[in-house]
Amino acid sequence: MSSADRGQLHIPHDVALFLAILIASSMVVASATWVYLNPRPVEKFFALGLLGENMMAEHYYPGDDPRIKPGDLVKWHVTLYNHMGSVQYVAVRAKLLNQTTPPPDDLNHTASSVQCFKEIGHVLVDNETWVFPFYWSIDNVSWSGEPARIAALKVNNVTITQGLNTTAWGGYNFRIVLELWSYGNETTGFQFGWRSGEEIRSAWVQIWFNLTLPTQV
Amino acid sequence: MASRSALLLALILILVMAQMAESSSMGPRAMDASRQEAEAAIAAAEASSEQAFLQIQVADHEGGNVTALAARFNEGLELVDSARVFVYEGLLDRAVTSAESAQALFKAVESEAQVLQTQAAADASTRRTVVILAAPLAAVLITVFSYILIRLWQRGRIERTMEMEIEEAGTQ
Repeated sequence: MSSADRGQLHIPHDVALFLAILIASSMVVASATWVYLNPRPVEKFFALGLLGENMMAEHYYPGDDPRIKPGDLVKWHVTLYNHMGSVQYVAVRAKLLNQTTPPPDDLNHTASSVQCFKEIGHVLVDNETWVFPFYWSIDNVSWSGEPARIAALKVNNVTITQGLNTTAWGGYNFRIVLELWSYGNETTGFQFGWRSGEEIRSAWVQIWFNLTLPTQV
Repeated sequence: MASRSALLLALILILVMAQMAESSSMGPRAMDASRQEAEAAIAAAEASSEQAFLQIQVADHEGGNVTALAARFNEGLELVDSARVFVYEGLLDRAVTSAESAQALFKAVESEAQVLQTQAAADASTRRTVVILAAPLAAVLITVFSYILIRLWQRGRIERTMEMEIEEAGTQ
């Protein structure tokens, strides 16, 4: 076959083939458009964590000794990750509990009934991790007889005297609980935990310590 | 004369005591008013913060980038926090100043969030329209491109077939 013959080669158009491709490509493009316009809902959650002095899950106490004396500076770092798919207004509420005080309830998602001594609010955009220092020391102790009471705490260099009504026998088994509260709307305000679809979820962390006086060590 | 002096002295004494009583009762009242003022300023700032956050939430929902607004909002929260500390320390004037600064910041954030909402809604609408209009065009382009490729492949196959020559099988 010569090149001239090849140039004159005429293949009739295949309308059926064209239509088949058109239908297939329309379906692919329509699916892609729908996925783009209606992104798949992600699982909504917050992740609350508590790290030690070196931003790792260790060295939570000075000298790794859970017996805390007045004046000892305890350096923690609180981490909070927002995977709620939108901007969120949260508050971390710190509470002082002892061994018998009821902690937050994981099943019913209710917060501890104890008054908080410190509340730290923050707004996080979606997919943001917020890390903030939570440095505290015991500023003043009321120890009349066996039950010990922390009369004043210094948190991030601010002295706090309110919300510290918890006592512990012999100063043993105090715990600081950090609860995560999220802002719902104007009527509900802040609520413990958050809504993920129909479910309510919550997050809290705690660290135990013993209060000692310098003479007891 | 002596009774008149005694009367005058008594009058002066009464006046001084009344003045003292008034100043002693005014002292705490003035202090209370200032504390109340500081607490009212903090409460007003907190109310503004809620409104500002709701506007940020709407802007975020519309697809706007709220990172800068969130950062400024957090600055406002820090101001409210420091106002509370000032109240605790008895620095009421500084508490009022901090709370008022926070409130001004929240109001600015609120109005900027409203602007962002409008902008983000318009952007989102444009984006949706472009995507919806571009989809059929993309489908047609893909179809034409695919059809041309298939036709070229078919043409090549036919040409290769036509170039074939019949050869007599050789004998070994």
